[in-house]
Amino acid sequence: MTVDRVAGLRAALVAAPDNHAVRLMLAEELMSGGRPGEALAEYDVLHEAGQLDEHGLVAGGRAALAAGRHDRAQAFVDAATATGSVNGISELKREIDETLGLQHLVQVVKQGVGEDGAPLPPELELDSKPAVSFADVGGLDDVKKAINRTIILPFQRTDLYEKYKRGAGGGVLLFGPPGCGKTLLARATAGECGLPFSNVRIEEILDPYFGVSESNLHDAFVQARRFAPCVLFVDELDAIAFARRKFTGNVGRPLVDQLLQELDAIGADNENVLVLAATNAPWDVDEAMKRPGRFDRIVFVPPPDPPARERILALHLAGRPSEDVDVAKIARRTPLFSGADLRALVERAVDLVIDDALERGEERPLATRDLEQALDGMRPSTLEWIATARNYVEFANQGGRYDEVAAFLVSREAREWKS
Amino acid sequence: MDAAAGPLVRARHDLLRGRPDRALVALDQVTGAELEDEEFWLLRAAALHNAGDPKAAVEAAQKGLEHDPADFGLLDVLALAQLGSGRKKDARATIESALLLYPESADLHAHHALILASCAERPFRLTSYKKARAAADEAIRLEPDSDLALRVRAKIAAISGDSRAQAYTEELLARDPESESAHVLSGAVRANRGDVHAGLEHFLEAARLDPSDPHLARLGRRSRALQRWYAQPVLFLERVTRGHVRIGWVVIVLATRAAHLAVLSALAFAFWIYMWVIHIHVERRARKAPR
Repeated sequence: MTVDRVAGLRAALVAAPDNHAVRLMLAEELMSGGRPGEALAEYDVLHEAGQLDEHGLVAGGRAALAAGRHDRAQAFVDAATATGSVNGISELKREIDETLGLQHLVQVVKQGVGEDGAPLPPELELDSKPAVSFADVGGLDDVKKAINRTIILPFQRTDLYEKYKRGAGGGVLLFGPPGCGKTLLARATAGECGLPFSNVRIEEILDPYFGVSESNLHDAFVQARRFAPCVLFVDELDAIAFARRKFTGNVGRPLVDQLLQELDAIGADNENVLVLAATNAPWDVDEAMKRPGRFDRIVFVPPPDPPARERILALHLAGRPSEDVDVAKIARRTPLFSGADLRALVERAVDLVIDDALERGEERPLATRDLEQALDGMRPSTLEWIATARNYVEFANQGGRYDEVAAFLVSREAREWKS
Repeated sequence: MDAAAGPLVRARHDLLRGRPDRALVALDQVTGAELEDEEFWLLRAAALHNAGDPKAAVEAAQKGLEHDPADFGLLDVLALAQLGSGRKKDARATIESALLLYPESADLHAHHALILASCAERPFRLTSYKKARAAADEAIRLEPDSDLALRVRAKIAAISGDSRAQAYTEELLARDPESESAHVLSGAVRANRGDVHAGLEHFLEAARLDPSDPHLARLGRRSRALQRWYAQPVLFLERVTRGHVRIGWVVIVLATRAAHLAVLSALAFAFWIYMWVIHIHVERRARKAPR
């Protein structure tokens, strides 16, 4: 920054105080020049004039934070959230919390077992894992926006939703190929909302003794209601809420009925309990689950797109010795690769470098050619899922349930591989 | 809420809900003493059989039988897996030895019927459909409401050309209109009786009910291709042995040519080409999912 430039911009504003573009330039110039207090004053003027877009609001929040005005920073965050913006907000929120000396943690609902084997009263514990936010999920911007609009905002703008008598909570089903970030998205959703997160897994529910599986499932909902508002995440929904039509025998059916009862909150109240679920096989989920009031919002989580793959690759390469890796090139060459596939790719490439080091005694950094070599013969693990999804789109999409999948299947990426 | 389910519980659950692939993943986590449990081998054999790997299923069932040679489930799965891997005689021997131990099992009789029906198929008719029908009837006598027994009876009637096949398949559909196997059987029976359009509709319905089954999806695509206007003139082939007609048609071409019926010969030749073109087109459409 030059003093001249700031002075010039100020002079221009004296001549034309309503020139918001110049004021924004001035604010940015002041911020980059290490004068956050003055920058904040300019951002405040712009904000009052309603001239800040979502990026401007986040920048204003950063200026406020740097100026030590946490109240203003929070105001900017709230304003940015209200616009439906996704990117950058969670990072800013985390910075605010960290600055305030708070370690932002994911809250996990846990219930222990006493010495006599009887379950102890549920307790809300803090997990040692740091909170996951949307910033930690590479790509999937459209999905994040959909979740933000349908899930997060009702919790953050309770006033607005109360005004229109629209309650928060309900059921959202995330589906897509394996390894594409559904579970991470669910955790990130809880992180964005700042809500306790309870993970229900089939292994924790199933029990060989009659009636115990249903009881376990009921307990999970009881705990979630107790700590409402909270996010109850049901992983592998198709394993719990399987299509009863396909089930051979009668033993498993009560489990589906129990989940239906819990979602319908018979004899209970699910207000402010957000039930998130994920599945690779939405077609194996009982139809009754998808009716209004249960999992009525169904969100497709596709394999990562090229920018997302770049981010994921960069994430996996971080901390490893590497040299000018052309991440964009590798991302272009890995259509339909899931996050898990990309991790495997990087690990294969690292193995090649280690083999090389053992053979030649030369510890060279990872290069683009190693990734390309590792890529030879690798196929995305999503192909089988896509083949099945194609069949469902072709034969069982009368209600338009798989329209998002159909749109994805005609995309260039999906057509690159013959599945 | 503690972690309640071990891998065996999970595997059984996945198998019952029709996900043998997930059951196999769960079974891969089994360690220690459970590996000696015959239930592990039974679940593994059943999962492998349902996942379409009958040879591995035979091996798993045989390992399980080393621990308990009289296990009902293992003998049953072994017989079906042997049938799936083409060892019809072994399958028959296995199921008949199981029936000596469990003569009152409707499921075993139904599977016996299925194996006998397979043995009765051409070209090596190892037995007659009559015996297969008798075994299916015995299964129904023991358990009149058994879905399996009723389905096997309908299947045997369909493949043997029994005039009661349509009634049997209609009964299956009345019991469960969303049974894809009932729709497949019904489609085959309708097509064989000359109602090809209705048959194709049943095949399409089966594909709609379970598109995750690649065989049903292929059947659905094939049916859809055959419903096109350009395939209508060759639909009659669906009720006869299609390959025989296409090859036999050459005889007509040659005969008309030998008889100096040039126009007729040219028409027969053109139709022969047309039949092949449609056949190749339909098979390609059936194999390949549309993009």
